[in-house]
Amino acid sequence: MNTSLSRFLEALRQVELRVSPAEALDAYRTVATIGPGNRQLLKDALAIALAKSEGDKIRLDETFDRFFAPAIDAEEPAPLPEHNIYTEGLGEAAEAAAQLLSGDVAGITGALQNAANAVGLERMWIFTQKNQFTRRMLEQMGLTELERAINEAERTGDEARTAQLQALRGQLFDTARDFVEREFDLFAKDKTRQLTDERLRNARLGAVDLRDRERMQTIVRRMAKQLAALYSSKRRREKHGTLDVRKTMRKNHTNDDVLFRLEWKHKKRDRPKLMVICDVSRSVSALSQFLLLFVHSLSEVLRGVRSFSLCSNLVETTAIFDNPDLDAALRGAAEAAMSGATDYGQALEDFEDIALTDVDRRTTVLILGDGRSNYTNPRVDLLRRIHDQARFVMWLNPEPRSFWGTGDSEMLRYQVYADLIRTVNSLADLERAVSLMMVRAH
Amino acid sequence: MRWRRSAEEGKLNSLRCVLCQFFAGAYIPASLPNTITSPCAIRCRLPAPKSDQLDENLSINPQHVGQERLSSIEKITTGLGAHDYVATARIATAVYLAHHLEKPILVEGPAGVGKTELAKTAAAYLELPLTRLQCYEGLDESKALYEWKYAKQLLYTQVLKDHMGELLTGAPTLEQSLERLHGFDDLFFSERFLEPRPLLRALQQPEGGVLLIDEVDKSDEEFEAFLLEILSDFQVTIPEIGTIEAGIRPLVFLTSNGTREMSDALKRRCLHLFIPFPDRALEARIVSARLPQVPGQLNEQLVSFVHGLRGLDLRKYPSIAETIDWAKTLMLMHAGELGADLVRDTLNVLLKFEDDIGIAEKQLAHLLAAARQPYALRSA
Repeated sequence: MNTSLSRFLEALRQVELRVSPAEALDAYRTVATIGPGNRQLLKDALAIALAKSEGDKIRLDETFDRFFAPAIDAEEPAPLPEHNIYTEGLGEAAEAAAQLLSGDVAGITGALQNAANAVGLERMWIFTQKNQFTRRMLEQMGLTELERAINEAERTGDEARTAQLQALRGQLFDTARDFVEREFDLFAKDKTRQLTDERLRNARLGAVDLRDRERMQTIVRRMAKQLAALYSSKRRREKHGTLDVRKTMRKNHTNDDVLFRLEWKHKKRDRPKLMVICDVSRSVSALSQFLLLFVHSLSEVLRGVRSFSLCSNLVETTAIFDNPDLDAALRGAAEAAMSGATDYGQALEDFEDIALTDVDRRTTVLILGDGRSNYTNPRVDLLRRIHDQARFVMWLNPEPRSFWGTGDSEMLRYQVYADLIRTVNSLADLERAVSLMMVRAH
Repeated sequence: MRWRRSAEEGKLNSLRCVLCQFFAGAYIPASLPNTITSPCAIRCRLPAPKSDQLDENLSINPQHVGQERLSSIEKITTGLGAHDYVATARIATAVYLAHHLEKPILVEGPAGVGKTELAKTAAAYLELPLTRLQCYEGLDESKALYEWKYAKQLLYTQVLKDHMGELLTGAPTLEQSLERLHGFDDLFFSERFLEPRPLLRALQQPEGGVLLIDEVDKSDEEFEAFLLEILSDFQVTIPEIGTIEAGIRPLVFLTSNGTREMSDALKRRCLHLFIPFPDRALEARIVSARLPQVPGQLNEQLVSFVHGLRGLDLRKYPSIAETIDWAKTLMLMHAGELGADLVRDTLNVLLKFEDDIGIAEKQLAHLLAAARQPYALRSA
């Protein structure tokens, strides 16, 4: 039980359920307390001890069902009647054959598990290895002897026995492959996924396939959650050494005004207000979508995120994000301002009308764009006013510094009024930039 | 040697298993030796110590029935059921594990599904005192754990001042006076001046107890961090006195409505129980357990209606508590079955927002028709 429990914990870690060593010990104690006899009870108990949220519980239930599934279906009658087969002369394969034919679920599962341990199945990590490992496991279970017996039967011309043995081999092969398939799903699939995640984090966002989008949203949400956890706890700070006289007097009034206990002044940190202006023109749209997703996932630690889409003009898109369907929201944000060539000057004028009065000393303004304004008036004076009013202006640009000022890029003129400029091209860049923003915005 | 007399100062004279440190709620008369040979039932999974296996003079404390009542999951289910609490398998398993692993349970779920009720019922079933700590923003140690009785300390200082002269007579020099005063230095910071707050009180219960930390998500992060010591070791450290450990570890329930995510550190120390809205059959069972006078047909109809409401897009869904309130209301109004007017008049018992009531009223006819249909027809 101990090894299968630790393998089960490993399988849980693969579905991104965090099981700490302390919780692993709890799992062992749980099983020791209730015993492994009752399947449903075991599942309930492990769900209580290990899964710490509703989503985790669902994942644990699924993993439990997959992990403790029997290797063969006991309900299915064995296709080959036992008395027809001559298991003698099969050597090591005889045992497996007998188990398979008699529908001995526990026996065949155990045999497969032993073979898997012998060939080191846990080393499998990519799907092309499945057949190779199946073959090795079968060899471990006596495939060589079985094949020799088949050859022998063919040579002697015993057709009935040949057919039976071949059927047996086929069935054995299917069972083993199902087993390997299941093991792969449980343990190996996510090894490749971790690799993909790492690749996606660092990939240039413009070049990411559509099919990876969904996965990237998950990654962005996770990054946002980590950031939120980092900044949620630091809201109330004690100002050391500053006595809150009024509070102290009030507190100690019951003690005849003898100052037994002192009260210190607190400084309450406000959650920063954030305005995000995103260029949604073709050249930066991929990046904008993920930035918007990122900041809206951060709403827990930010107070009132307002987002604006910028292209030929500027539109506020905050309300769009109330939509639970995120893909639709992102598409809506992109379409809202799309009516012609990018014009930063016009967009800044629109911003002046919509929101400039709301920019105050607690507001951080985050601009994402390449600063390419199609030779229109860039209205640098408006950015300067934003800069003067806001706490902090940060500009994220997908282009490297050497491109600034070339062609219609107004970046060199805008950069004067941005407190911080970062080049961002991948999710990893984005995460660094947002975390920097959080530090400076406080 | 498996059992040893508990050595803690000021605790009840009880047995502690040498192997697993588990307490058995038994008193040992002072005449007995400090160690007793007998198998341990609870943690070491050895046969239960029967009273005759222990020394004859040793009697199991009749009040401490918790051990026995928590000894199997079935007993918990029926026991809670006897107190009108319908416990699902998961709930009973959680209580069972919480006792045997000695870990707190973090109970999460929507408002009004019986999280707090579970703790109360468990306390009633185990016949143990319930200590409740309601969390809110700004709750701190002095309100949750202990406080020094400042006023009493002050009063004593005043009283002692008058006797100071007498105390110091015969000590002519300053050194001698100080020497004499040193004998009193811990006087004001002893247990006598300690005002225990809920958490400390729960640890000090001689028979063990049930501790309910309600709505822990409403408290600050600092308080959550402070809870960790109590939740993992069942002890608190008071700098002036030392560490106070629970004699018999209480059964701890923490409830959370999920207004904020609890920290991983807290979750790691707790078992986690999620109570969702019940399905129709379970909710009907809960209503009939709480209000046996509700006729079966009405019960089924009202539960179906509430389930219909939960299918709508509402700001706040009606909870089990509200279902029961509604059933009580209907009983007061002598309703035999659900009528449109009756439902419209009493909808505010179920729904607490004007917008929600508006939405529900529009769908009323449809929901009622669905609720009046017999269950068998509906599923077909």
